[in-house]
Amino acid sequence: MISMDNNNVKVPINPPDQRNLLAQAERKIKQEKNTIKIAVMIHLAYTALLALILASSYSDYRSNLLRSSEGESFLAIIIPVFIADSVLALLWMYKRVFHTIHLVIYIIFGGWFYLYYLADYMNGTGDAFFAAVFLTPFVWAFGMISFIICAAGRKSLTNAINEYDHYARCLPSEDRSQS
Amino acid sequence: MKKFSVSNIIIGCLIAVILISSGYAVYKYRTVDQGMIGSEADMLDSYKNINVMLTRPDNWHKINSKTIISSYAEFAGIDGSTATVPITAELARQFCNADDDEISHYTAHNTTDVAYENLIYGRENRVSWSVYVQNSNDGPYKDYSYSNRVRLVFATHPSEDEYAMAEKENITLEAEPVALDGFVFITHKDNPVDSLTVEQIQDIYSGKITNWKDVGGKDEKIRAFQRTKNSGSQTAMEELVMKGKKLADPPIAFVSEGMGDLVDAVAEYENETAAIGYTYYYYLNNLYKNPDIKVLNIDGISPENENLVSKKYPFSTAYYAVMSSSEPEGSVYRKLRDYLLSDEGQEIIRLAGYCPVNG
Repeated sequence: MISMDNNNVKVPINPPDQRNLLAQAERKIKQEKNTIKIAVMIHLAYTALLALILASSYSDYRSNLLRSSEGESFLAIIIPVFIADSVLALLWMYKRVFHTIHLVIYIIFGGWFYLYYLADYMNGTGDAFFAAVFLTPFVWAFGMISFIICAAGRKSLTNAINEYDHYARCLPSEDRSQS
Repeated sequence: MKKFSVSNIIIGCLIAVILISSGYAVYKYRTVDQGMIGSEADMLDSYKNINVMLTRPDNWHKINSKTIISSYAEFAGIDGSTATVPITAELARQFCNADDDEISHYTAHNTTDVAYENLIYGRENRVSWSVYVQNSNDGPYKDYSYSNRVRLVFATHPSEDEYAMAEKENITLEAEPVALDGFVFITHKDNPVDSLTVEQIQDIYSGKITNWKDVGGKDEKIRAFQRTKNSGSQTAMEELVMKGKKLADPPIAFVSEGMGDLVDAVAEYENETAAIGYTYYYYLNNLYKNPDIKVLNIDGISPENENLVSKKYPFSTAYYAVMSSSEPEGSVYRKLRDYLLSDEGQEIIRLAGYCPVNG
């Protein structure tokens, strides 16, 4: 049983070591899947925080939130965005393409959405609007953290899966059936 | 049975938080539109919609010749609207020699609709404050609190809904006018329109007229602000102005929670001159000043005192002392109500800055 070292030199591997490496690769896969799950949880927690802030502003009967948006757009925009955002985040755990789509949408529209949300929340007139403009990049940047963690997890997961496949192929057939 | 991992449970909880928060926001959005006020609004501070200091007027003098009301607990039994806070404040000055710092210890007005609910359902009202105490073993602040069942309300006339609410509780409301005021319409000071007719006001608020150019103003959409249902201002709007004509349902953004909120909204609305709203003349002149607001004349008549007394101003209204007909004859509150209707009481009303009922 052979493997290739970093210099592409064929190196013999003992089957017991091979099984260990396989187990290691399997643990790494689980680890990276957990990393992606953590990224999903961070993203959902962030969205949940924004939704709670929104709901609490209603319990205070602050009509400011609705004043500049004239009410109806709140229902038409903010809540569907929260729900769509949550659904996309959940799909990160299943296919990479959803993360990519979500990331592209976030980069293009995320800033505008947060600006809209903050401007409405702070009654988007006068100084409050400038405060919203100032805060938007920070809010957007915090939201990016989960995307970055997920991207890193996805990359490591891909490497771990490749590693697993490699060691699995290198196992003798009887050992392969046991692994 | 499949076991759920901790991470799946956490994810499930976060999704639930998002959905519940969104659902709650939608629920509150819809219920505010229908004027259902929750408990947070019930606890509105008397002074939240007042942005001037309530101070003793320069010409203040003691008028009352007898003692009718004297304790904090008795004052806790008085509730009312934002615009009538100065009535109770002046009573505290006259009967209890309260100075400017102590006025808030005697006044606990919870806005018109809440005050009527408190009166009808026999709820308790409370006056409370904290005093800083140096070197105290019990902490730096000492709290004072006095409660009483609401027995007397100073507010605009009860609405149909409030009469119906009272009837359900087998209560008959007695309402006597103690002061006059004008129900006024306000716009931004830069709006070129200075006067509207009664019909134009009705058409604006019923949605027939939607552009300022139709009433002599600029070519811009009219943003008509309203108050929440059963607030004093909204009741006056429905009964005094619209008189049976249907008010157009406003977008929720144009429904203001408090009197001060409406004034600020009209002054600060993003297109500046497009907004119109309504409030009380006394409130605007004495309790909530905003330099960006002007009062419109109605049919060319301004809401000055002489026009209110002579009823020339079309939207003359009054503040009432309201109690249950079952209030005992010799009670403090009945005596107080009767006193306010006397010549001495009307002088106190005048001293508080209101227009007395007889001018």
